[in-house]
Amino acid sequence: MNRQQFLAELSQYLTFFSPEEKAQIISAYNEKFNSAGSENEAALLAELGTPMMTAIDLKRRVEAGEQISFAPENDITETEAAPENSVETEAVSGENDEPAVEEAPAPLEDEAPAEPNEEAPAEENPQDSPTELIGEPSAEAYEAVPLAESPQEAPESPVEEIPQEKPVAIYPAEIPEAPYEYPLAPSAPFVVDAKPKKPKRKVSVAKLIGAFLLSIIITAFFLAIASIGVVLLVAMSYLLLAGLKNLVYVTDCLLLFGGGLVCAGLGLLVVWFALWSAVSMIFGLFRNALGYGSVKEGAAV
Amino acid sequence: MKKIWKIILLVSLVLFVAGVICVAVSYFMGGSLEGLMQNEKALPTLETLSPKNLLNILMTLFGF
Repeated sequence: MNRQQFLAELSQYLTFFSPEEKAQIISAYNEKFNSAGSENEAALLAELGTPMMTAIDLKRRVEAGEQISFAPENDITETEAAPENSVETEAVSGENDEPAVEEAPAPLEDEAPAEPNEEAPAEENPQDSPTELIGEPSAEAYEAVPLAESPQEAPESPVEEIPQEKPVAIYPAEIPEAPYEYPLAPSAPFVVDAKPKKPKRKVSVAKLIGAFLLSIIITAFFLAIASIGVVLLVAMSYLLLAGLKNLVYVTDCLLLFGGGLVCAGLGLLVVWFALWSAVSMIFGLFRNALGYGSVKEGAAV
Repeated sequence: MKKIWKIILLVSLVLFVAGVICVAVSYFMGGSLEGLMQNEKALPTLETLSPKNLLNILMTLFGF
């Protein structure tokens, strides 16, 4: 995997960020590659890990409430070899420019300003090295390291005297454990991006014949029920006509009309129930026989 | 589909309630089924729509 592939894949995995944040992250990693140079590109890729792991790490850091800012890194790279991004980095970071240049002048004079800061805790604490391989140092990291222990003081003071909690303060304590869980817990974006494959339909002739025979039985059964409803509707028409003929006797008319209306209501309900049940069942039978699966609830027949 | 079900249920309910109201009004006005059976003009219809006759029609329809 080269730099372009890494950035392209990382861009695909950053679906949980807004387009602006995504562009900022990609730009920051791009600057990181620029600062590393082409000869150190392979080493940097190995250091960063896979794009998926990097994206998951970023997502977890965001979910943990950590504010991810790449502005200080842009500032460092800007002073080194990225003048074209100077306007953007100045607009983003603004205030961080002065302390980064004034308080830590020595790292900026070197070829790789971030490397002394990263190497010091790595040598002292081998257990914390995964954080540097995977996690992108936040804005506090670049500010905290020169303030706490400058490169000039580091050689003078013995290794034992440097408190081991400082790298933990730079990087969140959850991050070192996270890389070992990556292969076991894929995050949501990869599931969302994956297009579900359509299951292959298996059409069975035996199933089709069975569905056809069952549909005949179902049709006959529900036809009997529907005929009851039709009879009720016919009775309704008879009763209404008879009521119209007996207008002389109001009570008889009302009885006939009432009976006719009740028959109409029941008949309509029975006919529709029989029709709907028969069509739904037969449709479901043939759908299963053709391998489309069961009918969803509320689906149109 | 749910809309059709709602419409059918609503129409059936309206018809059923209207029919029950008609029968109730007729009953409170002094009407009865016995009096209706004595009506010569209504008698043929009632005989045609009697449960026994309807059952015979259905049995004949399905060939039993």
